[in-house]
Amino acid sequence: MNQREKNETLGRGDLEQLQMERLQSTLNRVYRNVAFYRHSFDAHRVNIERIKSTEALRELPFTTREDLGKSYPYEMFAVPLREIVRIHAASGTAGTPIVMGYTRNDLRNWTEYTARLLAAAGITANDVVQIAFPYNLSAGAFGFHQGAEQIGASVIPSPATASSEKQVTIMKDFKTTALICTPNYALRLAATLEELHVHPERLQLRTGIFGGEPWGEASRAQLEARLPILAHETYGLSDVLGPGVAGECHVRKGLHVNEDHFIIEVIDPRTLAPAPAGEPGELVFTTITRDGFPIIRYRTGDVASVSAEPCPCGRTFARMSRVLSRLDNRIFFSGASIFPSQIEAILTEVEGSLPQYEIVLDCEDGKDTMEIKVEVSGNMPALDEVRKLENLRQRLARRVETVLDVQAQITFVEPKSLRAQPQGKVVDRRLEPRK
Amino acid sequence: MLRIANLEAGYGSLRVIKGVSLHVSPGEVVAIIGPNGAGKSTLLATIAGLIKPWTGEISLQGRRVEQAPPEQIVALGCSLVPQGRQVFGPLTVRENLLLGGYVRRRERTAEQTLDGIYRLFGVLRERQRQLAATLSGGEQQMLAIGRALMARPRLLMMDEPSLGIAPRVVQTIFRTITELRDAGMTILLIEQNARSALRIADRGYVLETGQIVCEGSARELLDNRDVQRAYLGKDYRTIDE
Repeated sequence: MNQREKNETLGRGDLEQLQMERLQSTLNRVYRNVAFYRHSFDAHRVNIERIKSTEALRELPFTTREDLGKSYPYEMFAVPLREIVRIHAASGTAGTPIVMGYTRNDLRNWTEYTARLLAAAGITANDVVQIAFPYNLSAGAFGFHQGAEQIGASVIPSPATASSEKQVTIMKDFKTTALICTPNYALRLAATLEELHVHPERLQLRTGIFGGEPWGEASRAQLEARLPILAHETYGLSDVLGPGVAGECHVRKGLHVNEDHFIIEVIDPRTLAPAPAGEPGELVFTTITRDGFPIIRYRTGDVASVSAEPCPCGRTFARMSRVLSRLDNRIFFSGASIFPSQIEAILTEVEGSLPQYEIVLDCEDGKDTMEIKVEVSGNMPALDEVRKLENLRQRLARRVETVLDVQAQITFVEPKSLRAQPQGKVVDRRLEPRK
Repeated sequence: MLRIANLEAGYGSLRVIKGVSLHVSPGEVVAIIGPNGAGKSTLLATIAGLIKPWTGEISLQGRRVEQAPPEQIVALGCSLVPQGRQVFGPLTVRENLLLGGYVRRRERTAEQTLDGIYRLFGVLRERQRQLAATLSGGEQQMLAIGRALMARPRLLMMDEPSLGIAPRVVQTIFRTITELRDAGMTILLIEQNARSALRIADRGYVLETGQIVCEGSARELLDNRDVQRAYLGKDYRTIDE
């Protein structure tokens, strides 16, 4: 049994000691090596030597997605770039993405604790694991990929950009036993199986491991009814790490947080004070083993609760509930995340001012689709100036693809035809029942 | 085995240890590496009870000992091999060893323990009647380790065991530490020779100006570029060599 496996069943006292040691050495490093944290701690008059327990972490300021966006690309790294061996990126709220750097040790740790989640969900060396997240700049597919390889499973990189038919063929012919993707993507694969009249009994599939977007027990019941799987939930930090933060064990009553690598807090997002024990609040994470891109008190925008109740599985790590809601209007799209504010920034940039718009999400042939409806306004060509409009449409589509790495269909609509919505200019048809 | 939380200690008004937390689990070899003046020896001396800490907690097998005198800490199973050997020159090898067993004098097990130490260090048996002052540096280091083992510790703390010793003898010392480890001894080791220390250790901490700036498995620290640059020397070799 190696050290990391041992940590999963450490007594709470030993675990807190380990967390405190790692927290203190992380704080000493970020204060010495990352200008943002040095300034932020000094501005809040925090002396890191006063942080003598994991509770004392509350004295430190928060880190927000805006802070990370401003550090573009490498300002928040705690080591020189030559020590970084992997770079991933996630959408920031505004123009610039958030860039994540991993040292060799970071990759090794990430692999280990992601492997740990997969093992807790029952993945072994005998499994054939089909990973249907996007293999691109985002970290999701790679985190699971490394973890599954570490266990010794046979790993199939089967990017979510492939068609549903192709995914199903792979699943059938390659004898996939475990599927790793977003829950919605799995539901669409289930629909494809039904359309192609592939009976689930002809599949070797038995485990589903899902992440990348919030989902509920209803989706779990539906997935387990339509696919021959036990569905497991995982939780990651797509903005700062990727998968591997927490996951369900076989008990499937809450996600064990890898507390030897992360300190989890739950706060009231209005008062920023700790939420009462067991009550839902915004999740705040601190990484305590990362060398390249350490993060102190990151506000996730995810609302969930945390329970310290012992789990029948024997692991002593606290369990978080699934994400109950989100504090922002993040769009989960093909395993990546996008903010409406990013699309607003593009519309404003190309058109000079922000027109009324609506984002319509749907799915077609197992793939997420995005349509951006834009009202034709005064400073735009009129609807009958076809060539100019077509030109503008192409410019918008290109810009969206360049910035967000997403193919969107741009549709111009009559002035005042869109409902004026102050918020939530997003229509998500993906969750509606299919006809 | 050993757990330290937020330890501060120093000399006079000089604060040397600035809030250190660390732990050593049973059966582990833990190395503390760091530059000269980082506070490594002060840390061990504080654990051994030779220096009283300013604040913070030290627990040995669950018992708080930060206020305990050194002899009580030895009796609780924690022995220190001090830097620079500090053997008693005018006494024989055997006398030095018997002094190390003083806290166990009522248990009448000295001869047996002595025999075990002679098996570990054959040269000490050969020279048992010789004055300690006449031994070579390496032999004196073996004597210092043997003397600490006479108290039959559960946790052995070693302060720079390779300091000022011929390179060939250093190998012998490290081999001995490995043998002790394999026999189940828990060891907390301070070393300038960071690479050798990390090769035999399970975990390590990097101490700089009285603070822990890095912790992890020995493998992680060997792979850490900061550690490589600062402590493993320019011509470090990777551990996959």
